[in-house]
Amino acid sequence: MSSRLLLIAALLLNLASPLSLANESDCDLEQYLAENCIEPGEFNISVALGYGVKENPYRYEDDIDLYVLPDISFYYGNWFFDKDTFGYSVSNTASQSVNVTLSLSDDSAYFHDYHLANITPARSESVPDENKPSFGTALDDEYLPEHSEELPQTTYRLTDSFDIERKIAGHIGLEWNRYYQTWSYQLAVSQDITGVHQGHGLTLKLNKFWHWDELKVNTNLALKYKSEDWVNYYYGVDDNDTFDPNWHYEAEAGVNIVADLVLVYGLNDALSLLSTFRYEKLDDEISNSPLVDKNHLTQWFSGFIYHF
Amino acid sequence: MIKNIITVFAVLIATCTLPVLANNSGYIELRPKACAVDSNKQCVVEIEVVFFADIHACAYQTKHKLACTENKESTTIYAYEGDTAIRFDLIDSKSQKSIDYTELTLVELAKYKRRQRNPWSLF
Repeated sequence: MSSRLLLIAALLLNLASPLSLANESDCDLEQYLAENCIEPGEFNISVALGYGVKENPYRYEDDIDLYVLPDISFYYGNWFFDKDTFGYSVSNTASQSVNVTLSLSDDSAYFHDYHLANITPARSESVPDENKPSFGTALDDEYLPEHSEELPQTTYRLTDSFDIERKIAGHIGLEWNRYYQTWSYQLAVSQDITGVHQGHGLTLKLNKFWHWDELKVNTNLALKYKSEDWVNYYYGVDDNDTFDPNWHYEAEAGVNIVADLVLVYGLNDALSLLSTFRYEKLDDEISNSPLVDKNHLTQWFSGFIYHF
Repeated sequence: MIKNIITVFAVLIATCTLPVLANNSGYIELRPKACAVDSNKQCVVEIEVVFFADIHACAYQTKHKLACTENKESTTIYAYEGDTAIRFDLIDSKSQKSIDYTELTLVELAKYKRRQRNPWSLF
């Protein structure tokens, strides 16, 4: 699989090679009016205040409340920081761009409050603490792994060594973005460089935006492939989690399908309204994990944006 | 769920914009509302000026009358070649007061870069 990944990376670099970093702007009028353009050398800082919920796939972790969403970006020369990604544009023209990127694994955001993917969250109290399983706690049926039908249907006791903490992984990526009027698509490969899960991923994403006077609409549809190492690290269960073999689960590679919709309505130069909605269909390899109690995830947020 | 999100968004927009609309008896808009200048910093564009008033009113570019309307949406084409932003007014024919106005913004796209991430997208 690694050789296939290298082949895709080489293909992307090959696509970039005949392209020069053109002096002409890569931003067209449609992109400008949709507020997808930025002045290099200047910080773009906007903050959305409101309320939203990010569903957590892990049955032992609560959903994440969202009160503040930042939108921070800075571009300088070929370098950029945008949202949660550091990047370098190998090539950037009006019709396409090729970037080398550094970012964090989105799966690890479900374990870490202060992950870039969920700024200023607060844990939802949807599941009272006394109902959550803990070391040595008798479990209700709802907390039993899905493949545990063969287990005695009385009570089930976790071993003292049960632990589902997962580390944040850092990824290096190579992406090719192709733009055509108000459409774009992206092919991206990524590889863990922190030794956390040592897996790799491949993303194919289609984007379309519209703008009517003050209303801007942006939508994405993506297929996100994650390798066996990646999925198994975050959703598998082994001796590191519990010595009880009934809970052990070995996940294989999987593909999640993701769609999102972003609505922004400008009220004046400083203030806009924001509504976002995201749906992610989890691959069976993830949803069948005893750690996971959902087969899809939703995330939404509504509020006011303040542009600094 | 998505229906609820869009409903909340529509209610928020209505709440924020209805008081403004209620005070206006007309509007004037440009399509496109911006013009990209060329390497000589010149804008060359044909603009659709769309305007409406529930009373008799006329669209003006500075002091030049373009067209008039009463109680229906009208469109007129305006060709512009220049290097400065220009203003369009919708003027009440009776009182000669401005009902609404808008400006054609000139943009030097060479100053900008396209963002590599979609603003506010959740992935």
